[in-house]
Amino acid sequence: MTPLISIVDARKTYHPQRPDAVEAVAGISLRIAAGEAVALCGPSGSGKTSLLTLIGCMARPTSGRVTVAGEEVSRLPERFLTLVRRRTFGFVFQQYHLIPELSVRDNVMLPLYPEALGAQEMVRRAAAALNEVELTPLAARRVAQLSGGEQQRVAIARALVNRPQVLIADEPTAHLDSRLSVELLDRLAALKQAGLTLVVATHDPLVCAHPLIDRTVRLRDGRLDGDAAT
Amino acid sequence: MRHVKILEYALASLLRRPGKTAAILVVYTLMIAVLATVLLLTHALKTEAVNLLADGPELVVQRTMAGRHELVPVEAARTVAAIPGVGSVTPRVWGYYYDSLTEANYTLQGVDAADSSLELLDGRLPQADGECAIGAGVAAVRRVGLNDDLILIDANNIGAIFTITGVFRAESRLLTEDLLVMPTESLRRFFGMPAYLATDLAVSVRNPNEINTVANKVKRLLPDSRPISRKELLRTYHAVFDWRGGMLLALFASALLAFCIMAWDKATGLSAGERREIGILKAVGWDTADVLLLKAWEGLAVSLLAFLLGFALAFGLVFWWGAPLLGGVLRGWSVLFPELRPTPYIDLYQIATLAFLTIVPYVASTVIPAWRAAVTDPDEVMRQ
Ligand SMILES: Nc1ncnc2c1ncn2[C@@H]1O[C@H](COP(=O)(O)OP(=O)(O)OP(=O)(O)O)[C@@H](O)[C@H]1O
Ligand SMILES: [Mg+2]
Repeated sequence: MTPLISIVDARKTYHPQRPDAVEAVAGISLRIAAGEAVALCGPSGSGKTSLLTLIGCMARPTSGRVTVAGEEVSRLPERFLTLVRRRTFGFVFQQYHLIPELSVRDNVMLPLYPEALGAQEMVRRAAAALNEVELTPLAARRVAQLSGGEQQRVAIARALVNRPQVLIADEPTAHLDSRLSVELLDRLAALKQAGLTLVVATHDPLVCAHPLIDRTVRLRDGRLDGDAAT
Repeated sequence: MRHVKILEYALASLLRRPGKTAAILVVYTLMIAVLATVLLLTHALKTEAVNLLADGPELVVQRTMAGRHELVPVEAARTVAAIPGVGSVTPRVWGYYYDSLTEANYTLQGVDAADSSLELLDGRLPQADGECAIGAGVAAVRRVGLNDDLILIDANNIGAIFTITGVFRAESRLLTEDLLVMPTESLRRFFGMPAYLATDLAVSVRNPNEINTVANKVKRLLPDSRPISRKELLRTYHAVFDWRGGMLLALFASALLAFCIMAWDKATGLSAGERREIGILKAVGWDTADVLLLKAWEGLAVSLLAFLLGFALAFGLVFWWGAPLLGGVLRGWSVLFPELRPTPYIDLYQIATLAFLTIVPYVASTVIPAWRAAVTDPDEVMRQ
């Protein structure tokens, strides 16, 4: 079976020309099947976020290949890379990256603007995504007025609004207490149940050990440190 | 559809920063208003001059001596009239009068010298000695009206009393504003001008193509004369207005440049919030082109609105309120220069030029810096 995402010997070096060049991803090969839930675990600075950006087509590898649904994306021009990213992936950033002055609904609609949808369709999709994270009552509130946990749910709704195949979450439990962490993992489990592929970067053992995770990938200094099924 | 949605988003983000948007809008609007006022006024004054001179004689013959304008002998009229192609020759009596009371210059004309636009009269033309008709400006500064008396000091330093039989109410008051008209004989006496002299000769030429030929013949027959055709007069007017308008425009062009630099500065120094927003938009799947489109719409919305407001303001200033500030600079010295209300006109070419020169640089100064922020890989936004 061909994997949904396949990475072959990918490397990512930040500002390679300068003396303080950092090889954040130092030759990683990884295959992720559709519907799988993968956790990237490792200490801080081990390259989890960098690897996520490669998986999610946020950046191109310095060398190596990234293939999504059979299409090699690592050489695609930016426009098409953006398109693949928007249609295939939903991101929940570690810092959420919402626009605080906008309402919850407007934040969730952000990824829809380039899709050339009608206004009604945009509102409908945003409402569906908000419903999925139980934020419908807060739709008109400004994001700046929400709690951290609520903001994360807005970020999840925004990641889901384009109906992606893959949900990517970077340190999703970093800002949550244990009760909210459990709630979040239940939510992710439900999404996985619905057929979504999950890729989660974390150093939270609670996440790595959660039954929803099919596979834990350990990173150390930009390399794989063992790839075992849980 | 994508354009419309992104335009909507652009307008919303402008409204999200009302203070900044309003500040730029005000400065920009004022700048356009000033610029457009100069353009409209220059054009309007030129048009006025053309309309005005259209009623005047085709050819005016003056006499010069030692390079100065001199009175012309009335008998020269017969010499000119004898030239083939000449219709009529009218010796005109007119001159200037400095009114120390109001510190204003009036133009005094004998009725024969006054042109046909004097039909636009409230009351009637003066017929007898001691009667006169005045322009609206004179009436205003002297605070007199129809049937009032007006005292002027004549050439012998003696006060002369005139009854006002008419007040000019020309549509455009460019010429009649500072005008005072009386019977030619009365004016001669007032000026102390002998009967055999006139200020100049108004000559009508039957065939407009022959004006230059006639002018040359006049010059040959009367070597001390200076024939001036209407065309030449027009050219002088145009040159003067163009020159003044050009000066002002140069001035405002530098102001415009300063504004652009300011805008550029403001824009290149994208605020941290804007930069962050661009990063987020890229991260959630906006293409670089989408971000640029957003910024272009933002710039276009601001500059288009400012342009329309500014142009409307200028239009109102020039055509309804008579350009209170800039008008004086353009018109020149005359104290009694009419409070000008030129006929409104719309020149699409002019509008397009102004729009191009103001909107394009502004939009560019919004888009280019955003472009630099938008081409960076979106993963940058993940670590901030
Ligand atoms: N834009 C960048 N420029 C330079 N160096 C970078 C950049 N992004 C990451 N790095 C470096 O790359 C290495 C891996 O960073 P990365 O963020 O991928 O680690 P991480 O595992 O996600 O860490 P954390 O758990 O703290 O989030 C680090 O040493 C980091 O300093
Ligand atoms: Mg990280």
